[in-house]
Amino acid sequence: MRLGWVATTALLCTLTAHGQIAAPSEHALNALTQIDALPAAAALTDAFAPAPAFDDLIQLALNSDHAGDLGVQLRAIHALPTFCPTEPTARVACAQNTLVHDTLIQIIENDQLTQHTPQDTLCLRAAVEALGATRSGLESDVIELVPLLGNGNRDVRATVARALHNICNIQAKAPLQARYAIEPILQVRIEILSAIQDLNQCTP
Amino acid sequence: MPRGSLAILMLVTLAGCPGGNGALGESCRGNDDCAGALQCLNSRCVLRCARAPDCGDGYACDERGLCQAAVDESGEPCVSEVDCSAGLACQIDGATVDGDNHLLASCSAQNTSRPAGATCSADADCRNGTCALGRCVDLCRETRDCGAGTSCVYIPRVAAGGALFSGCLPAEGTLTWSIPVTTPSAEVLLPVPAGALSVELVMSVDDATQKVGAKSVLSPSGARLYTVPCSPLSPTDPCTPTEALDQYFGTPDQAQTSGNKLRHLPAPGQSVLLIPSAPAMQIQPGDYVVRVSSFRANGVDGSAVPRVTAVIQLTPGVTLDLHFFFLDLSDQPCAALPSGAALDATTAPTAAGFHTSYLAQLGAIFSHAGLALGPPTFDNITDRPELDGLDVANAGALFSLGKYATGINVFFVRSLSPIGLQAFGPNPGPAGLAGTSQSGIVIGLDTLCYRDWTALARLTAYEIARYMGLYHNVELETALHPTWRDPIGDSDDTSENLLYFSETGGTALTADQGKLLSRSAVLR
Repeated sequence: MRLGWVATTALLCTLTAHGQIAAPSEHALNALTQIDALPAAAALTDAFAPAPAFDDLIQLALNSDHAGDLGVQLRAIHALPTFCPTEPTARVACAQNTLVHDTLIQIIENDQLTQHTPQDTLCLRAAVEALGATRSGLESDVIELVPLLGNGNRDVRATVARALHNICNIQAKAPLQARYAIEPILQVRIEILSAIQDLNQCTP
Repeated sequence: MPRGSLAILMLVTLAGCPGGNGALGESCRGNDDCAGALQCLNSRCVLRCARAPDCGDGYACDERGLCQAAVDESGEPCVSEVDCSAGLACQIDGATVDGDNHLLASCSAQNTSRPAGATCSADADCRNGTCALGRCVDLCRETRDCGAGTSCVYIPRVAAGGALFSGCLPAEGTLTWSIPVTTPSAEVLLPVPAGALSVELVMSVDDATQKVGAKSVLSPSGARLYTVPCSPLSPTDPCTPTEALDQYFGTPDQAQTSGNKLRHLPAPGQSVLLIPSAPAMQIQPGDYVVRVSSFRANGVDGSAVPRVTAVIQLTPGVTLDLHFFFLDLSDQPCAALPSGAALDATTAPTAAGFHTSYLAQLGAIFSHAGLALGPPTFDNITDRPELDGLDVANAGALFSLGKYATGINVFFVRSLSPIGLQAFGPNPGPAGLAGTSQSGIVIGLDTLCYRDWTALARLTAYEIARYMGLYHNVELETALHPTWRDPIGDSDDTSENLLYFSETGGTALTADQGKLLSRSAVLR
């Protein structure tokens, strides 16, 4: 079974905006295929060593044509915000114009170019969720996500509402309220309502 | 042969070979008036007894199947309930023990309360004056003294420092009872009867921001089995995360004297302590001493008072019941049936992928451990939309809907958050308990966007096995930390094992893993 996975993942060597990458090692692959846990940054750094984990994760996350394994890609996308530093002066900051942020925005915007297959949708949702996990507070992130509140897929809308909740910028309140007024799915309405209630405590 | 001896011989022969032909219900003056399979009791021919309760209060059932009237009166010493005359119960005399360190008892007047087998919290709750393991227990000498479906086994007496007495307990299945705790940190005596296969303590607190769990565990012989791992966040004595994990994983070799023999971590809201963690560790009859506590996030003692429930598995199980719950899966493109219908409790039983790939593969995997799947049950959960796309931080709300105590509650949700998680559940779970914040496992069906039903069966089986008390055969970091692996003697490091942490793993189970699974209280 292992050889099959390595072979499959070798297909991840797709050209992307950031160039070509080698297939992840078996150890790295294991880190990105855990069933009921997602790896922390330190575990990923160990798993990808001696290569820099962050660079490889960017490539795996941007596997935009899903030529590789979608499960690995989803976990790579999730892993990106875990590299956000606690120190504001660190190399990779999770504010605007950093590699984490730009990669996630790129994945979200790439969705417009896809055929909106269930796999595309899942990838989009992973990026939206990860953008929320950066807790950036950026109005530009709100602007990026608000159009997706009208997405035809209820799971996308629920994920966007939760991400806007986490980004925590009060500018999201009005569009969330507007969507709440017409949202037919109770699951999504609950997510929107939860976000609206907590956004009052966020900075403008 | 003297004439007297001949007379005795004739009497014994007649008694041993009842030659009468009295039928069931006919009057008699002695056993020899009744047909061979019958006895004379209260002047009527009745069936011979198999157990003392067949004869009524105040009788024993002897090895020939004859009811023998008890003769012990109030205040006289006894060993078994059948020693005491009608209206009396054989009750334990405090903490006094005999030369074999077994508790002494004597005949005393019965209480006017609950019969043997009924639930209780104190001796006075029971007609026979003995409450143990949450139920009224008759004292016994042998299993024939006990009611049908029960056996005579050694039971530790909490009120007597764990000294043993012989009592009637169910012969199979599980025993479940609550242990009262009144302070945030308390020493709990966990009485374990002879023959128990596994024991678990389920500890919970209402304040989910606090952790709860065991701080230490001593065996009945006083050996230290467990000390809670150190905390990297401790304000007074912090350790490194690696040191904390080293202590958690303990000593894989159970023969070593140092290190934790049990694997356990306090967790927010609820945690489970399962004994044993490996089949090589023998359960001892007697009182296990468990320090139960609530904890703050930094590891210092908390303020919440734990609730504690004990579950003991008495016999190995062979049947695994799976109870499937479906959240709203409408418009979930990857879980839809070929007809376009949503997967739910109505469609799943006949859905091709679910039935022929998923259930069949689950059955095949657990057959490696000698377990058979029971008939599955199917339920819809339509009134909890906030759980349709589950954030695992809120999994406790979902698992609380797990209404089946036996078997595993398996919840299918549209999606799990964080996206990338395929399944989630406790390790170990509260086997044998329904409706707790850990009573189930959850499977995210967006995994079907990139995996098939057979792969989903493998990760479901993996999560079920963890619920039942198995651990990862190896961890992601085992190459750097060789002790970070399971405590099972015969499991290996390969990815072919079912407990391999990655979805690239296989479905193999070792003999010892199978033994541990068979001890779980989820089985019947």
